[in-house]
Amino acid sequence: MTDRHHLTRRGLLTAGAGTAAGAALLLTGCDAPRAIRATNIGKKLAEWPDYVPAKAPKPDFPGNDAKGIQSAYLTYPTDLVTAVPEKPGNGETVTVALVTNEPVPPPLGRNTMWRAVNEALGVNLKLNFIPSASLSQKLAVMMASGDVPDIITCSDGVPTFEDFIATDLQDLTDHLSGSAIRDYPNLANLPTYSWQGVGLINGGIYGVPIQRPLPTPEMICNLDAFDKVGGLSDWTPDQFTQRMKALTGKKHWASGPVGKTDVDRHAGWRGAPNSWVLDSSGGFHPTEATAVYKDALAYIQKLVKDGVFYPDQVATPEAKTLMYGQTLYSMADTLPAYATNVAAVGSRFRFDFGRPYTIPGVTPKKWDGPGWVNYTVLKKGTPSRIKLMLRILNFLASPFGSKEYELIRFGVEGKHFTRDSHGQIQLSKLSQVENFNTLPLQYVCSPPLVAYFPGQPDAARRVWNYQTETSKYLVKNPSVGLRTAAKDRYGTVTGQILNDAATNIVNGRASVKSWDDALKEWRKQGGDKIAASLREEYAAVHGH
Amino acid sequence: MATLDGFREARAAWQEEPKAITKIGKAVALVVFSLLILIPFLEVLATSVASGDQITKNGGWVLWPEHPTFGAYSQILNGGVVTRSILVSIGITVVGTAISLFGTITLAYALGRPHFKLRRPLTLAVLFTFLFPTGMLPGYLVVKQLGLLNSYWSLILPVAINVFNLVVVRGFFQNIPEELYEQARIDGASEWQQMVRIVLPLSRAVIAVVGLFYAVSYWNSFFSAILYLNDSTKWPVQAVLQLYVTQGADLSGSTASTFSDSGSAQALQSTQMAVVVLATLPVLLAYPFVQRHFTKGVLTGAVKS
Repeated sequence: MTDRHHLTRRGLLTAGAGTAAGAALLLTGCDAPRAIRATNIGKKLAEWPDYVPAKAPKPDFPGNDAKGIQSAYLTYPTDLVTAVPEKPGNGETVTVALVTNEPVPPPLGRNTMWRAVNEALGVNLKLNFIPSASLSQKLAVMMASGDVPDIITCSDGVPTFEDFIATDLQDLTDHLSGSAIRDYPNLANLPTYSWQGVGLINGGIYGVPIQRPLPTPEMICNLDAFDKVGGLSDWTPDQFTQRMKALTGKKHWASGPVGKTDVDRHAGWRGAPNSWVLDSSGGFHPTEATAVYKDALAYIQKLVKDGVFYPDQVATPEAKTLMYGQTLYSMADTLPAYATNVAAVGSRFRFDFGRPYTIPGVTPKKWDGPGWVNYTVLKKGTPSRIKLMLRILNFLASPFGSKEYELIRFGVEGKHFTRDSHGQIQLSKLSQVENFNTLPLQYVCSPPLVAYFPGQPDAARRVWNYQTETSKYLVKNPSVGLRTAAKDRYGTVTGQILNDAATNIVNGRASVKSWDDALKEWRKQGGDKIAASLREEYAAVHGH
Repeated sequence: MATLDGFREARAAWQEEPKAITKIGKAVALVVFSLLILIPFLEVLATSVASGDQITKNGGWVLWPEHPTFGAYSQILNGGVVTRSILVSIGITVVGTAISLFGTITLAYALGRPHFKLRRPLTLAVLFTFLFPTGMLPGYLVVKQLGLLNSYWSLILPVAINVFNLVVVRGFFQNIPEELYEQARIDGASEWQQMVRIVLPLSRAVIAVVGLFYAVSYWNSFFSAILYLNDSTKWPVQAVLQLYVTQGADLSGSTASTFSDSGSAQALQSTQMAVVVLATLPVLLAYPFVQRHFTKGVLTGAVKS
């Protein structure tokens, strides 16, 4: 018998649903300010910041930012320059949310490096470290709660975050657009492609980029191993296959785990446009829908069948360990990661990069990255407060070869490092705990990366040669710097569709023909909407 | 049991003396099974004390370190960050477990008493939070409104009572014969005295188990700290150690998100494994002391007769 107080399952669910609906209604009735929708359509566009190279010691091999070539230094410069003559602050407290991938450093009271940076900046930096894996959640609670620090390092990937930027954060256009940036010479030293990569929000400049070189990701290789089978250049697809097969066997593999990145790279080498095909009328079409892309899928499928890829799916750090141990001879990685790879293997073997192969009648393409890894946005404030923040960022962007860079990167001379008789940096024991990784101000603002690898001048020479040889192949992704609501809403799902389908095909679990079905699904799940939105946004930004 | 002449007494198959081959088979199976469990632990331990060169040479894992070194442990404990965070974790675990046990026991006792008039609505309210858990953002806003941001209480109060544990404890209490309560009441015991003097002494098993659940949960928790504590010196050990494990991984959300970035020096495998050892050791040490209560505690509490 059911007594009248007895709680039935249906009753409980009804009560729950009713309460939830009531709460939703109450919440929608709240007098919250309406968020501004970020779009550049119909907006007056800010002029990009002027690019003015900063004063720095002369590199051994000069770079060319427009062509995506880094400056290379064979040794650490001894003629350091002063990049910021005056302290940016005057004792103010500045809160910073900065992303990190490293163990947190000792607290300020016991951290010589942090105190020295504060002293040089003339401010008290209060750092809120955010593990990169938790960045999107922290940004989400910032959006919901309005708890915003003075400086925030952020990244794309949080839906509607650009709306939050447009609504609640500082428009920096008046401070950074055109010649205004010359008040901050080290920010003016950031290449234009990085600013364009971060893009405009509502026609304005809101984000300061953390620059990264254009070419990325790359096929990073064990040069010594590849030299034994014919090298890393002057090859056709068949020769590429032969050399990869020659390196494979006896528990050794020519490449790390296979992924869609490999297909993308080979599609580019075969002439496929970078991510999107931009037609003459301004329409966007996925490069994955080209015949060349399908060829690349079939080619990689064959390579997988030949066994040249490492058979287990391991994460990048594990793959690197295998590569350092020479179980693998190549893998996909970013160009800047070359620095840590070179440092990790020392003189055991040489790293270099795979050059595009040649196909008669085809001009290979190398797909540009976005030109940034993160960007920094500021809390709204008075003009004087914003100028203080920008002076801090300007300090942190001091170029390689400046005294300020040395402090941020290596710490205090005599405590974190000493110099040998040739003026080269020798790190101390303290630097194992206090260093630019544990105090990652590089992710708040940083200068353009240069190719300098302590004690390994040949490594710098090789990466510079690679960039110089291949810069002619670089092509841009037309969607870089464009943010749309459709991309926010459908980007993750549609990306996953293609990623899963590509993985299935290259691993032989599906035929290349099934790629067409994946593309249909991509369109159905929002791909077409993304393409249409990009077309409009592109026209608004680029004017056609 | 009656038996036929010339035949052995009929016994069930599992009561027969096993043959030698069966014994050997069982022993081999047990050894193999034990090794399957032990080898990963040994590998973690061995890798944590192996040299970087050996780890690289072996492709990431070592089962027998040639030149053992405690460098990885020294690196982690150097600087005082991890040491402090261990103290923070111990504090949160001890205080949190005590608060959780107090809250769970008292609430479970009240909800288990048939004459308590608010029993049904309160049970409904409690179960509602189980069926419709708070999301991250509402949780953050509540913690903020309560003024708990940047406070250790933000790691304890929002998760002080776990409904699953509450239901287990309530079920256990309800299995205690009503006659015992009546006897205590006749002797003049108040509700509080009935709980403390009758119920709790009979419930050691379930309290030990639930206490361990709470303790492990507090010890392992790291995301709340990252969310609610802006000051990293207040982070518990798991929040600090997880950065050693993810060191050198990608910057989430970046457009090159599957690859490492230049600034991230990849952690040595030995460091990562030392982190695993440090993070799991306290829990491993605690388990044997409450293990004997496990089956009894959970099963008794789960079924209401």
